[in-house]
Amino acid sequence: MKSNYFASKLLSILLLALSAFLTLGTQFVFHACDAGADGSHMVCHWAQQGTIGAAGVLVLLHIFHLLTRDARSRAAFLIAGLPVTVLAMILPGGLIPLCMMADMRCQAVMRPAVLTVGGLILVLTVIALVLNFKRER
Amino acid sequence: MPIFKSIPVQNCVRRPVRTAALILLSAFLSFSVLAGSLVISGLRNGLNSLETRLGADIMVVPYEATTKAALSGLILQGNPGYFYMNKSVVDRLSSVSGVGQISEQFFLASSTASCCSYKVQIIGFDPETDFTISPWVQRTYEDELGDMQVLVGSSINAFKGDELTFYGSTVQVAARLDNTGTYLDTAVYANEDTIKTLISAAKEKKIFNFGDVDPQQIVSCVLINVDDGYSVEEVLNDINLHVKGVQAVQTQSMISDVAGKLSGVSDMTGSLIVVVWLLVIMIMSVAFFLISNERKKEFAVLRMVGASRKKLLSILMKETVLVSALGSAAGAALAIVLVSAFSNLIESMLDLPFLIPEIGGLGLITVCSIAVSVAAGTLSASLSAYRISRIDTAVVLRGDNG
Repeated sequence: MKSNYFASKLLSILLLALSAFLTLGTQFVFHACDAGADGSHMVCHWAQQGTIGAAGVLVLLHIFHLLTRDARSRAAFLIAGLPVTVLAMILPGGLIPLCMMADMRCQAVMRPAVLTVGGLILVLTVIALVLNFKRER
Repeated sequence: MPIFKSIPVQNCVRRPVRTAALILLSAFLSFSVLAGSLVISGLRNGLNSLETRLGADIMVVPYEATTKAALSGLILQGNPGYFYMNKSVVDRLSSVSGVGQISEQFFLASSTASCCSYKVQIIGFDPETDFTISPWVQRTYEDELGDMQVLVGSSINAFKGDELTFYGSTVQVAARLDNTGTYLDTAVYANEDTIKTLISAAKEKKIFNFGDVDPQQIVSCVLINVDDGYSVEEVLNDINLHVKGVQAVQTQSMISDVAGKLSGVSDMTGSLIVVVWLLVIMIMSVAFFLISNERKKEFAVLRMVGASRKKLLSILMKETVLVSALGSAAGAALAIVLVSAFSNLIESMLDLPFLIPEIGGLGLITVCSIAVSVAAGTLSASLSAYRISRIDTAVVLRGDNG
């Protein structure tokens, strides 16, 4: 169906844009706390680096998803992206602790932003999977 | 299920782009209404919480403390700081007529805490006389706070059993307190003996200039509740006139500055909601008008196969309600997620206490916002729906736009 194809392509592009935003945003926009006066980083910096790594993998998966025509391969890339997205979401504050105060940048900005963008990616991935499944049928 | 086969649902499903665009508009409307309402109610809740937590009629501090801007920063914004006066003040204040409940507190700003380059305010209180912190603490922690044990505010990333080090002294976290949305969330609480040990340790390390204060003979502030039959102003003036070296401050007057700022932010947010609301309703009305024009032939065909005018009106209104409800629910969910997730950021950007309403209040605001958005969507479509129901089938099908 034409409209299904259009929606599916639109979702692929949106997913790629969101995962790119997660990668670049974590580095430049909603980054963790700045380094101290002596140049040393707090633990949240490593949570940021981990998230960027996971989000980078997600970008690659979504590029492959966009370029692939085969419905099963597209579904495989989408499914592979799910645990990577969850990993990116739980790294800051879950697997790697953040700073002590809730009003510090890593807790007030980075973590909620990563959770929000990650959550959006998860929702769109599920919708894309449903559309993909419908197209295959 | 029959509902999924109905004409309004099928119309929405078969035109996904049009439906998505309308859902997006509804979501935007609902998001702006709910996010704005949550910010306003969060600020009001924060102010109420601050009023409750300050919980005393009068606060007495050393005279020097009121000459620096530090007092309101420390009391209202939780900026770490300290000031001290001799403990004998408590006895002098107790003898002032009209003074009812009285309790002293001790302030100490930590140097960088163990994990971060960030100062933490340490507040010491006497559990036997305290009437401001204990009622709130007891909601989370019912035992007596032992020596070298602390309670941490909800904004501090430490949990029961964790150890924190201040000035080389290690204290154990006994509990993490409930969120209040105020400066109290960023502080650490200790009993009198613990904070005096920490003040002594800080003095030994010469991190702050304590001068010649004896940690055993000091207090930072004295909180007073006025006895029945006396007015707060009367007791306040009496203290300021007869007790030397101290300044009595009415806590209500400190809050009034915050209330004034809050009122400004609320007014601005309220105005923004109205502007966005009007804009979105206008855009939706235009969108529905254009869509109904584009669909004239579709409805003319429906008329030809026997659909009544009422039926056409019903189809279009059902589509509108469906799309508005979906969009409003999505917008509301996004607003709740974003405002909750970024509440700390909102609080620090506005520099005002901020506390998201509890589940009951949140549910009520959400339902109201969704209802308002659905009503606005329905209102925007009603004129177009009425026009569609009045179309002249013959003129439309002849190709004359009628």
